[in-house]
Amino acid sequence: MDKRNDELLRQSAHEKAVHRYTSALERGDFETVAAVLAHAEHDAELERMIDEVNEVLEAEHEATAAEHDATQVRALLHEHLPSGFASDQGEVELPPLTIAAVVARMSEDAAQRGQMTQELAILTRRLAAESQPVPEELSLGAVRQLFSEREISASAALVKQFRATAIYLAEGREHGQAYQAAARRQRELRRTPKGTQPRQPDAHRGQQEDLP
Amino acid sequence: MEVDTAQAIIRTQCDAHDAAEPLRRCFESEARALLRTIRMYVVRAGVADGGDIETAALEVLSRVAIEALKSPGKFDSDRPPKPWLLGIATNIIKRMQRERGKVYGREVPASQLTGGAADKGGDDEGKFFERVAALSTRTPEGTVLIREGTDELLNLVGPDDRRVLELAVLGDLDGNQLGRELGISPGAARVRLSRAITRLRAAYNEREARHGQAK
Repeated sequence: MDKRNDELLRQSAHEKAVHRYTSALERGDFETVAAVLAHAEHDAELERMIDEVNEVLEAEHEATAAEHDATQVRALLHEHLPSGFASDQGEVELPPLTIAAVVARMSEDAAQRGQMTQELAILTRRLAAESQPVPEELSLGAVRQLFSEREISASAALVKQFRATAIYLAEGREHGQAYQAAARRQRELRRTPKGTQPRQPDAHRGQQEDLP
Repeated sequence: MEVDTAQAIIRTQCDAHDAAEPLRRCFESEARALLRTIRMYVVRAGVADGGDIETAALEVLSRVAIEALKSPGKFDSDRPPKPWLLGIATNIIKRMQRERGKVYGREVPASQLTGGAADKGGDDEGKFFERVAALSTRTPEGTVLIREGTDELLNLVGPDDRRVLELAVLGDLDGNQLGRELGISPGAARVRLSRAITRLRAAYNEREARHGQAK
């Protein structure tokens, strides 16, 4: 029984010494650190326990240092290679899809397939400098009206082809914007320190401020 | 790279002081571990930051070697050498803290930032540990008798700290058992317990100060 008590007391003294050592390190009190180390010189068990604690604290320091280095590298890259990063100023606004861009694409596709027609060549020439955006509603009627307003007579097949190309290009741009927005959200999450909320979109910010 | 530097420093000092073989062997085998621990000490002591940490750690390691080689008689090959060498490192770091204090003027002691009043050699910290440890006694049947006020005291900290304290103190688990229970290493368990006790102590002191003001 006495032996068991002695063992418990010895174990408790070790745990207390390790606590004194750890808390002293946390507050930079090297008087206490030295005092506990002096005990450990004569106590292999305490020395082993201190070694285990050192291992944890060293790993913590190294993880912090690595994160600090990574932050510095990111800051340097932002400073010296800004083109490698998307703008942080909200959504990147693409210029509107223009009529000229649609006919240019129709022309490119036809040339690649060896299906360039005289009608398409004329259309491309006529609209090559047309910087007006295509209508938001890309119905066949809307395309016909677009041609009619410019006094262009186009076959039903060409009207359909213009509409299909315009829809294809518009969808591609939407996907690109969605991808950029998702990538930006991921970057913000990575930058947000643990324990804090990621930046809220403006639409939600007002609601949050209204909360009690 | 860093290992090479640490070992090169040790080797240079051993050669310069014509170190006895056992001390030389001990130094060379401990160089890497010593530098790693000293680097952490330098950060905790606040004697260097950023890119200066590595330089300061190598400087301390070099001075440890010089100090140890000046008094080789103190080296006892039957005892663990690391605490002795780290003890020398802590003395050097204490001097660096004092020198830095002189350069940067009087600063608030770090102890006052974490645990209320400043400790005298960490004695208060040890006493608080005893006080927390005394919250539980285990009967021969293994029944834990929880003393009055335990709940009230443990409510001063968050749920994570409370769980660690309950396991360690009320459950009478040592660091190894605590580590097994939490699924972490014994060292990590002891660090977590120590931080929980420090936070409990800070919360307790704060509560006592509030009560004192209210009277």
